[in-house]
Amino acid sequence: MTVVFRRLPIQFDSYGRAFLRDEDVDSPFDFRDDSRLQREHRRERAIETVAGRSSLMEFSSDPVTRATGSIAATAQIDLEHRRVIDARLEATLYGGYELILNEHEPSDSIPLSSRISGRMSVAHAIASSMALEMAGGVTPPPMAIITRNLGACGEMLCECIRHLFLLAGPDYSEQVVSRTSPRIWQRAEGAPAKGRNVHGLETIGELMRGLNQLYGHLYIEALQQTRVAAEVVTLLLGKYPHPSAVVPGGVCIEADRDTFNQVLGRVNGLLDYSKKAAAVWDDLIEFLYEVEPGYRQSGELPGNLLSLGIWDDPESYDATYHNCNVWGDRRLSRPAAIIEGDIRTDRLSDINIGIEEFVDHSYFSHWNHQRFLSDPLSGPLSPYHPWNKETIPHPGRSDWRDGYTWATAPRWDRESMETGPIARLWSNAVSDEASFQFIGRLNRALEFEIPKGQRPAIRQVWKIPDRPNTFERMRARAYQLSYTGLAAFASLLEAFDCLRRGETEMSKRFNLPERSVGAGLWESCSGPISHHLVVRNRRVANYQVITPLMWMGSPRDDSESPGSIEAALISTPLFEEFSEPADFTGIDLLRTIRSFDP
Amino acid sequence: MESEVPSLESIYLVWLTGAGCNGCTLAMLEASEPGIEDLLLGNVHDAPRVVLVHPELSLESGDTFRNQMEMAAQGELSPYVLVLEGAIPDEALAGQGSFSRIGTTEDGVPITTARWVDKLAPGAEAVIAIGSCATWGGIPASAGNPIGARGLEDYLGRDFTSRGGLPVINVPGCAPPGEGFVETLIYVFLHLSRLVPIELDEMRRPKWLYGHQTYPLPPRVEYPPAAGFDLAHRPTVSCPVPLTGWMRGFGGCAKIGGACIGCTERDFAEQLLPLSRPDPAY
Repeated sequence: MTVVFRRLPIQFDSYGRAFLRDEDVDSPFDFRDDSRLQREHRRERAIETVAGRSSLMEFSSDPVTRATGSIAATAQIDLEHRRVIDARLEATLYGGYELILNEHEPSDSIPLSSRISGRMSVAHAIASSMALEMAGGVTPPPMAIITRNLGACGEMLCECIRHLFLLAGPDYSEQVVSRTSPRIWQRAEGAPAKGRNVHGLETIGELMRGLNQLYGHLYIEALQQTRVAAEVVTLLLGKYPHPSAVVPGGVCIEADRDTFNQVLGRVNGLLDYSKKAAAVWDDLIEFLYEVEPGYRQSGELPGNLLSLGIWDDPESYDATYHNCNVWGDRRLSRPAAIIEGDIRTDRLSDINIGIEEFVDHSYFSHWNHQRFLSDPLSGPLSPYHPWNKETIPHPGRSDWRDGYTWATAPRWDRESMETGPIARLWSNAVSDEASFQFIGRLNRALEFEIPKGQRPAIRQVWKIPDRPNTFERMRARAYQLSYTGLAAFASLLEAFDCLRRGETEMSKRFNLPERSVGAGLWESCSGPISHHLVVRNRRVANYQVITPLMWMGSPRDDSESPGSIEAALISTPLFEEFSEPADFTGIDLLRTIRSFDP
Repeated sequence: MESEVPSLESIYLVWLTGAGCNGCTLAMLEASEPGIEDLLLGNVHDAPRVVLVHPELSLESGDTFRNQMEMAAQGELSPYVLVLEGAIPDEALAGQGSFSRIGTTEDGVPITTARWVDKLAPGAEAVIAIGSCATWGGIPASAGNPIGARGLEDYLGRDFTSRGGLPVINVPGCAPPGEGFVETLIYVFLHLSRLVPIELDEMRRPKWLYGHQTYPLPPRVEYPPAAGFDLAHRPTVSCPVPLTGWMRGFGGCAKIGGACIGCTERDFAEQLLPLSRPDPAY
């Protein structure tokens, strides 16, 4: 059998059932990885020995703008060797949502938990309804599942476009590049754009001018396209942010052909736009690699990638945990946990039991109570698993050795994981078969056939890169736009099929037992959304949410290993051109942080 | 500034965030007739060109970004309008830490959202609370939340008057529709230019948006309970969405069959819970 967990003490029998490696050990999950601890201590000592050198400087960005999460970054940089020695990322806002949900009517979790994040509000609402449906044993009708899929597509399209051109885009604009890399800007002006047949721009300089904040033509066009995507959500789920039509057991719009026709028109327009977006980012990234090959090391990480999968198959999804590996596998974008580029598992239940959340360096206290020893399939659960975790805020002064952030440190098999479009595309490119009819699976690559619209039909290929880095994260997001557009198109065909067959039921009666558990495992554009719910006396007894910001923006964990953004910052070489330290803007670091879409 | 007389050729819009979800910014970006870009490019007749200082949209980051907020506080970025998105936590409950901060002082003391409001509200020509969190506390002010969140009017006091002679302007909703908010901005600018009076109701909301009661339909779900607050006891809300839709005339919470949760109401959400009515048959 392939190894699923290297660090957690969990093994599998020949039927694929998880069990604890050694039943007799007390507190089997309370181990620390000494080699990793020692490595981090060595690094700390190395930092201390160089401290005080004149070339050493602290870079801080508080706030990091053009990020949706409220975050601040601090990095120790060695200007002489142009490298980052250490980095910390802080989440500077606490909203308290998990605690609001406690003791409340469970169905209220949908409208309340969507307020955790406006931009991911559709993903939160759907994850919450799935957690409730699992707890209640209620399967929504097919048309409701398709409608949720389409609403989630609309949100993801909106998120991809907004990040590519409004949030991260300006970092690659004339405004920024001409100041931080005048040498590169000079070459960009004369460099022909290879994809000009698709996007219509002659030079890379013209492309970078288009990315200028507020004034660039690509910026303004993207702003308008985000509205088209928001209209998709609005038509199907009432409004965006915070959809009004997601209820436990389904959705509450009418299955009306007109609505789906209106959605189809918008999806076609967005698919057309996705041809341009991918060509723009391909040209930009290839040009930057050419003028500065070292950019390939920018924000490089080993390829620990996590995706919970998104967009359910209306025939397979039955909301139960017992069948989650069946319906998880049928998702239009599949789940997977990948360590150092190799897939460890694509089973949703393995992924679920491998999740732990640490608070050693967060403004939270430890909890002492372990509610569950196993999941509903008898797989062992760590005391740090979200079904066991409790939220106990403990604010304090920021201290690198103690607590320094409101983010927790979620880990899978004790590894910090990267999430978002690159993790999703990678998961689908290494799976055994293509996820749905419009996606072709080549050797470690995905092929998209995008039909004719105002622009001619086009074939796009996304290849798994050597390793994830700052630029490949951006490229994956551009191709995620195509993938999501095609998923929306596939869902629309299913919707019209249902309408033809007269399957117009949109919700099922929802009921909850006295005691139950549920999990909503889903994705937003920037990564996994998981809601873990415990019901006692038909009330919420514990509600735990892990957001993508926690996966990527997490602090050190119990073994002092850095979170994904922290680690990516440490691996980022500094190419910025500046004459004196006061002119240093940290653009390489900011690009790396923003490439995660925090 | 070249001229000594504050001219409304251009105006700064300083956007401050507190405890919230940043959804109001998204809603604002959805407005298209006119859109925020029309204000930023100076395309709206008689309205000044807007220079935005916004944590999610600004080009600058870190100190350079925060310096603009400092400059506004020192009167060097004039005139400006302050918008708050999100509730204001009670930072006394955070001890030496903070629940919501933007930057720290040189001694490492967090500069909290509350502190920024103290610094920025007095010099602002107008102060606008966008969304239910910033107006009256919204969901973050619900019981069980240890951050002690409250709205802007409560924080500054009902007697607060901006430099332009206006009370805190409340634009409630979770989120309020973007078109309504951009309209409000334009009215505020025209009011500051003494071109039109801005009409606010007794709760200091734009009267043309919130001044009448609208009837949301009950959610279209075959079997209760559905999310949605108790329409039997409160059949109307002060919300423009049942009339105008969510964006470009379509959508809208109850209009499409979804649930109205009363998000524009002053007592949202704590007093309206549970938003889902359990089926009496249980």
